[in-house]
Amino acid sequence: MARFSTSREYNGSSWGAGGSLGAASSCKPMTGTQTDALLFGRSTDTASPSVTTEKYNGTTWSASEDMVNAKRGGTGQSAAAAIFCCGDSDATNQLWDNVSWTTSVECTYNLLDGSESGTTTDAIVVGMYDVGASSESGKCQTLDGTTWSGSTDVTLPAARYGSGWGSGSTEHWHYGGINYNSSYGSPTPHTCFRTCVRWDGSSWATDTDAPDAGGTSGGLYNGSYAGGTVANSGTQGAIYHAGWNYTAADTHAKQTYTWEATW
Amino acid sequence: MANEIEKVNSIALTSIESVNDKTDANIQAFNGLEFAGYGGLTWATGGTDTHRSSAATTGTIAAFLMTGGYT
Repeated sequence: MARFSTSREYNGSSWGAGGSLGAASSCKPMTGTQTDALLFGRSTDTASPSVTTEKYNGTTWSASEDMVNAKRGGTGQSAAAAIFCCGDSDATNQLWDNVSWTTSVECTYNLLDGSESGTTTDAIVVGMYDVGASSESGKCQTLDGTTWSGSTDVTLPAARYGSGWGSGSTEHWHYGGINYNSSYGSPTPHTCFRTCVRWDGSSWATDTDAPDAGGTSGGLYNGSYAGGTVANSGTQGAIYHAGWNYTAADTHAKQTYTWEATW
Repeated sequence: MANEIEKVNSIALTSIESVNDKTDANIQAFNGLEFAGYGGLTWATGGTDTHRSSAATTGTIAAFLMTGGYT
């Protein structure tokens, strides 16, 4: 496994080079824009997140204030305001105010390997592994600005390492992922879901399938976290890039697709 | 949800001819939310680039940022 420190930028038609992180890392939570971004919790080893926070100005990444503790999972509406919610050791939230991280309320469920969207005052977290229950989960929870509440479970089979995007508690999509029949165990059979589902604030509904990625079931898992735009921005759309699919029972393959979803 | 609304402040929708002097034919959205119902996602291919798993991303289709990850 080779990690990247580099960034890539997409302009709607082609990819180009961006700045480099302080270290090659696996990453997940990032918020902001292409020219004003905040990255937090990147991991330089196999699975452990770090407390590292970095900012991007469109050209250069620079170190910022560390998080209170290291976890995965988070969202935010800008580089100046982000929320780091649940996952790993506990369900305690951390809030970023453009200066430092502080601890906040706790999530209802401590979820990992799912998807998140929204802001520090209106967010959603969807599945797919319940740390507290040590099991796959389609659980969903929303933040109303003060407290988290359990919501309607997502109607997919438990599928970890999918991607999601949206604007928070009233609109969110979840795509792809892979089924695991036992926690952290070998996935058998290997199914990468092609299905996309949408939350409209009150229920989940099946949306248009993503393009067929080939392999055993046409779906992808563990690709780049799908980006989305904040609702009402006037430019709604999301991107899914790369990911893996399964081409046989125990063989997964690297993919390089860039897909755009609009609505 | 709009189709479930029958009245606003006790006034039947069919009796409302305009809002701030705009007739219904000229009102496309409230607070950026269009009246047209959600029609589902449309997917398109946007080319290819280096495979990366567990990368972080943010931005829009026209200005998208991806960093880190592994291959």
